[in-house]
Amino acid sequence: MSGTPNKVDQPEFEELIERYYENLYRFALSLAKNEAEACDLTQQTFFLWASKGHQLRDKSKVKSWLFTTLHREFLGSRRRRSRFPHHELTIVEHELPKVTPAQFRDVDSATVMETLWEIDEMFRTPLVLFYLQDHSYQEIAEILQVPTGTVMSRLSRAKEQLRARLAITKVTKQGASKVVPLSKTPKISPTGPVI
Amino acid sequence: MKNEEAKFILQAYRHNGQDAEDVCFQEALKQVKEDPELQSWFSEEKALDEVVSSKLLELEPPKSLKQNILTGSELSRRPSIFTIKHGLMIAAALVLMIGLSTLWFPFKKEYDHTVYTAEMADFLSHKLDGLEIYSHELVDIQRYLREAGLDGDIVIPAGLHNLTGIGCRILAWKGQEIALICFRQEDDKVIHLLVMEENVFPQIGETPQFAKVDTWTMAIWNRDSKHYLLAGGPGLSQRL
Repeated sequence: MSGTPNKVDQPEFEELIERYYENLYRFALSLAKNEAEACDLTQQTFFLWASKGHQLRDKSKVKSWLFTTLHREFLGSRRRRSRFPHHELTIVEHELPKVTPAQFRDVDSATVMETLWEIDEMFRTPLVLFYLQDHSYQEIAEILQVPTGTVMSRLSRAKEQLRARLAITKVTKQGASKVVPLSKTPKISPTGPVI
Repeated sequence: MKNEEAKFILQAYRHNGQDAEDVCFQEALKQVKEDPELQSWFSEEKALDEVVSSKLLELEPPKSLKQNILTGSELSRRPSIFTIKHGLMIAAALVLMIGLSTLWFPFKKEYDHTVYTAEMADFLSHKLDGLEIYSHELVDIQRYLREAGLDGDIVIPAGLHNLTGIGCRILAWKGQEIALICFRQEDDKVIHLLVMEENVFPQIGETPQFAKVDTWTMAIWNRDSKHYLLAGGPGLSQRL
């Protein structure tokens, strides 16, 4: 680490950590898909707050600032890691059995996170912020810097994908032989690009 | 309001009731009370949200994380072992090194643009799997680029002005940052504008040069010390 964050008020800083580190970690884990990187992103976010947080004039925006910063750090780390980072994207093309909440009460949280990982990042990011319950759709729009209508549309699409994947989880957990295949679909192709 | 519209809106409603006062949801919530089918859907939606949300919130960060954040910040605040004198010495050494490197490497970075266009064609065809920001508004895209540390002052070719923006992503090529901006054409196909912050192809002029690379028609040109590459299908020249 570099820099010297001297301008932070220690009790305030500790309170901030206490209040947000768990949800920031959960958000980071949903993005990074591994614990070590999620920890690193969370720490880096607080370090940046300690160095630059004093520049934020509107203190009611602290939460948005932390989540926006973590998201940016994640995007930046991916950019640095490889010239053209590549992510597997999948969609469900088949009819899936209906999902009811009761069927998932016994599913553990790690499985839920793994299911969330399977959702396209573009839709997963607002969905996780939504499920952390701490953010309204307007705040999610602010964090991701997209219009509120886009957030609503992504949440709708994300939930659709989540239901489809939870249904697969259900099928798999029940030991049924009929496992619904996932197909990999590139988002953009030179002949008929669709995003 | 149709039920489908109400459902779309209510999917952004948090199950714990935090959004109950938000005006955006009022009409849809009123409809829930009046329509049993919608009410049933909403109850199930909230129940599923509650389950997923509670599972997510059950995830505990590693026990050491909080302490590591505190320790890390504490270490960062300790007085630096470097004094101003050390700092000045380091600064002087850096100035000397920069001066010497200028003598040893007097030429500006230059690369072969055919390698660049080939790699970009391959990327666009096979590796582009998503964007960092999705927005129809060019101002959103430019703001995103500026916040990411890029210039953002991009001259969009006139033929792209009437197209719908899709979004952008930042790429890196041989240490150069490139803004990739995607537009949707009238025929629903996507056209890509890649803008390199620093022009590393001085052999290219301001007049666009066209090339066919794989399945892509490409135009490249320089403007205001930036390098531009437009990739699309036949008829690309009409976009410039």
